[in-house]
Amino acid sequence: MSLDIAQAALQIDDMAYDLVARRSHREQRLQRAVSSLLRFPVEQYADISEDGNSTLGLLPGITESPAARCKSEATNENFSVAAADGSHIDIDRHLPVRCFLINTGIAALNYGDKPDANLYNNCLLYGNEDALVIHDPLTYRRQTIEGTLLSAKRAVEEIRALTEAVENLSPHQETLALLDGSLIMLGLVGPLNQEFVLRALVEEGFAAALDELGGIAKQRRLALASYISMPGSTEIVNAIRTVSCHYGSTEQGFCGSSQPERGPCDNCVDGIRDREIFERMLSTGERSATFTSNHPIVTQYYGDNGVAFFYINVGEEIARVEVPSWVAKDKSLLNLTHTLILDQCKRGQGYPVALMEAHEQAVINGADRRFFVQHLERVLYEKGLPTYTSEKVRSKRVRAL
Amino acid sequence: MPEQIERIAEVVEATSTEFTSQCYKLFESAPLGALVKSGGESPVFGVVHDIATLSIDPGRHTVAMGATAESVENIYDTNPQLGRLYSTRFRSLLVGYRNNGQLNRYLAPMPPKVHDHVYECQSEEVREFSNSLEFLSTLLKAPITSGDEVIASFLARASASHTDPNQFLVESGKELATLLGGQLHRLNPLLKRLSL
Repeated sequence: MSLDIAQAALQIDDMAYDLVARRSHREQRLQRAVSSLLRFPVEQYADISEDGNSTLGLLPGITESPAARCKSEATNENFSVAAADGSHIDIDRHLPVRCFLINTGIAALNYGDKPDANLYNNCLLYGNEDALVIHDPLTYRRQTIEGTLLSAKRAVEEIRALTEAVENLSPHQETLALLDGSLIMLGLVGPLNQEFVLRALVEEGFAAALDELGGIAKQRRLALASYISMPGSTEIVNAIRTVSCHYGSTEQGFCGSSQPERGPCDNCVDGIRDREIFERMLSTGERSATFTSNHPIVTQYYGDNGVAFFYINVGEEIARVEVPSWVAKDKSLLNLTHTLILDQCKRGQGYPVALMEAHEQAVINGADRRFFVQHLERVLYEKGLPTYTSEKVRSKRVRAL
Repeated sequence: MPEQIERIAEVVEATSTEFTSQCYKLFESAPLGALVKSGGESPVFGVVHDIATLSIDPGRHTVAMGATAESVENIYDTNPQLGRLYSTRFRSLLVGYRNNGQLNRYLAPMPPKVHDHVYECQSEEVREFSNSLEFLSTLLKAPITSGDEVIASFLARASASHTDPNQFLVESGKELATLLGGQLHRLNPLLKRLSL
């Protein structure tokens, strides 16, 4: 027996009791957050949040009323949606060879007079020693691509594949290019990743691809967006706390709810997520105002590509949509994004159908992963190369009594 | 000019007694009871007995999506990916083969090759094949569901290729009566289907 179900069930019961006990308290905070958003002092906030950071967390740029509700407008009936997603097999130290694989999936859908679909994927194995690391040409330092770094490299491959897919679509149709998740490479934040790594993956990788898509958008009607289902972000909540928390900026943001021996203030909205606020604010089909991200990785490495975001009620949930600044600044492109994301969610019964199909193309399931390892071992064996594995993996396979 | 016939499908599974074909176009299968062939100059012949349109990925299940759609065509037009996610397949019972020009109405020594093209036989070839009904016993003994319906469909379709369709059906009925002697519960509905 690997898990004592009865023991876990008791703990789940306790957790549920605790959630029920805190429900009314949470509801009060949510109502406070909604009413604070309705009377949000945009100008006062602009002065406070000048650098975009505070001890209350990351602060977004807010230039219009955050309580604004925008409706979608009709677009042309002939349009295209292209989406990219990815999956990978990471470096496994228990294997006899160091390598990783990235599989990118693409769904390119044409709607209107000539409906059509192109669903495909492309996998790339990285086994060459040089391909497994990022080099710093100045200092000769190197960092192995694995874990979060591999996830970031995958994101770069996804946006490159998306760019190629967009180029293959008719330039005469309005097009929405969609990515799954965030446009901000959050996984790279942290002291472990050195400057040259961020430059290679973000500046020369993701941001360069954003530039390329932006260039294409100058020649045709193209919007780019990333879609986050059930977002957990709290940037708007941070902004509300900045202007409403009694402990706020006057005491360097040491909020009472996060300080031992000090109770939360009367205006506390801690613990609430942005999506919960917009669930109360937006009707089905509406989007929020747009906000800009002040994430340091964007301001430092994205060049001219700022990232803006808005929340949208797609009917089944509140989603977060991130767009590059060249989309956010163009009202018609913003409307195209809004309208086509709603349309995609309607066709996909709650989730953009193009993203769903791109995911289906990209996914590497358990059987694929086992085949990959078995084939790798067989090929190495046929070439007379050692096919050892770790004793840990061997013991897991044998499971001797 | 010989008839130009269009390939409609490709063999994806083959055994000595039947083969499964995947259609190149969704829903564009040869109909139930149609005579099809596969295998170039020495083709094998089969009678279609089962047609299915299913998800290509067995792990993905179809959900209803037409509550507000005007028609089924409208659903496919507004969801163009669907055409890539389903495939139409049909299974055909092997009933004969051609070897060095000689038409044989019994099982072939080898099934068709997987990935070989599949064609629906045109009326001239259907007439030639159904000039003799010796393959009927193969169809009658085949362990398939609704086998008699398949036979009735085949004979009804084949009759249209003969100059005297009624005479062809009368002869077919006689052959069935011989083969199904003592099995009136099968014979009667079959003859009724052939309107004899």
